[in-house]
Amino acid sequence: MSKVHTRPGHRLPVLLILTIVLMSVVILSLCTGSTIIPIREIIQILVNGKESADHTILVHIRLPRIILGFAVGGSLSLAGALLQGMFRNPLVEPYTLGISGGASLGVALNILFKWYAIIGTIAYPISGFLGALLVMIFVYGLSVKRQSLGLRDVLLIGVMVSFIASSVVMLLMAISKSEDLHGIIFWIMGSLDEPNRALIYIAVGVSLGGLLISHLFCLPLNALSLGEEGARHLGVKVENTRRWLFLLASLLTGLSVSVAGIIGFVGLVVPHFMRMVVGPDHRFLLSGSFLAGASFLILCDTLARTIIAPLELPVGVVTGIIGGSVFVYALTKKSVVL
Amino acid sequence: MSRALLDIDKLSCGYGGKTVLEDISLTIEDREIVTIIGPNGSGKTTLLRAVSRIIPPLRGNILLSGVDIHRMTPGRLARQIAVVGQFREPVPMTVREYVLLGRIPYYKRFQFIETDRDIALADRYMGLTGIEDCRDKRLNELSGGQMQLAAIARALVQEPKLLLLDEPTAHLDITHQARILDLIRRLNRELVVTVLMVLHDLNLASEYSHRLALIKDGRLIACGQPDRVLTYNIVEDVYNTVVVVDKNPLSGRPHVFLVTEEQRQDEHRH
Repeated sequence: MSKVHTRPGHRLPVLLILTIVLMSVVILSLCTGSTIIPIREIIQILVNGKESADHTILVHIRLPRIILGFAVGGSLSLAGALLQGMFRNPLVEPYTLGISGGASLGVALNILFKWYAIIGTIAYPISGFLGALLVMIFVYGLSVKRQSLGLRDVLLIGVMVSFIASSVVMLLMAISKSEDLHGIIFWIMGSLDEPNRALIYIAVGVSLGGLLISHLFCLPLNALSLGEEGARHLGVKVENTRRWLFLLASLLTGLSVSVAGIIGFVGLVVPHFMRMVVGPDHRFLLSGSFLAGASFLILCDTLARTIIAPLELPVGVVTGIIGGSVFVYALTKKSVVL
Repeated sequence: MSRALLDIDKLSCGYGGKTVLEDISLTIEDREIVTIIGPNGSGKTTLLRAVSRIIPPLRGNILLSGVDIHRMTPGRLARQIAVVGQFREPVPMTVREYVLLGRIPYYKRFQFIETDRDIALADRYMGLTGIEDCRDKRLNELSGGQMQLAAIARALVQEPKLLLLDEPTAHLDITHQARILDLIRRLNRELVVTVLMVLHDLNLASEYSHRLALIKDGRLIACGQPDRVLTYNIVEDVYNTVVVVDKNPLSGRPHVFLVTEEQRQDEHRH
């Protein structure tokens, strides 16, 4: 009997398919919107039609959103995959660590105290990022200061910080004027509409850099699936790994939240779904999650701006409804181990 | 004269401020099977965790081939000591992926894909442990015995000099108990792996070990060949139970029989 000695877990074909899916979604998103632009004409418009209205729509409206969707969707999903692997808990997502809570608190304060009137609209992402950063430092500081603090405690602290932050945001909303209220709510619901080009480029740079760096940790993450002691027995420096992954996930989340507001569910559902499709090997799971997260968010954003065009739905609502339904369906359809 | 592979020298360790092991000195020669026995909570697992560097010593040293384990890099230690622990995470990966995790200590920096040698080793040890038919099954589909064999295969691909096992036969039926321990003996003979394990069952420990180390309340009470350690007065004293010790007619090794309460009362009357 001859045995076939295949390399295990080579999921490269899956990654290839995910890349094709991403490109298809990008093209679809370029075509659809309040006006339909046929695929055949896209390249021609991009090359020749500098002055046409379609050119403006493509280059100044749709493309920036697609790029931002790529960065934010990829970042959130990657951060989710890293955190789920690190905490060995499928219910962890980037927002569980309280980062989004901190960011929304920062933005709420910005709107209430009209910082945006002083330094312009850049105040939104800056205040969001500062809020996220403060929470990161707080949670991380606690876990470093008390060496014995277990992962579960860090998680619980994050959840509590989220609660505290959202309560304070509600308090601010209760005492704020109605026009401010609208601003806060709109930001909390999340949107890929970002007028500042520089921020979009920063987001893309950070997300791709994060993806690259995260691959330095894919073997330690695989080892961690054996538990903390199991990983130590394989020579993994567990504390070190955790520290870097925590910072990386926080950075990815903090930046996403400050640019696009709170877009839930991508970081929870997509990596989880990818675990079913690609498998638990982080060498493939990380890029798989990034690609799928990017596709998912771009698709949801396309739907959000088409369904009731010319009006626009908050993209966070679409990700929640679609992501949640697909996920529940997949779980009931297939007997998967959570 | 064989030289010591593992030299535990006046080791004391514990958790937080609490000392669990007190002044343990134990030498394990190359190619030996040494089993740690003792009552629940006596510190058996703690000793394994100290040797695998999960917990630091409060006092004393642990030398592996003459080198203090706390002076080695984590990777170097993982290439010499492999551990089959007691608790398993229910990971939904295939047996093969799981076994290949044992090659992680051998990955070079920036290496992502396993080498042909890694694959060959995984296949070899899955064959040796008899789980090659389950290679594409997921871990959560395995029986307890198969899971234990997979864990041993995973430890073996680490190509360790010293294999640590924490109660490898817990919760298994006698078929699997014998299968696992026979496998460990075979590995010890054929692969020249030195074994330090924890067993609860005194008779299994007696049959399968070169030497026993008896621990009670964190102290080493007795250490030596089974017939030196499993005498009825030592066992009765340490376990606080009435026993009779006889010889296994086939192997000549000591066998511990429990004496029930009724039998004790009958004896008294006669």
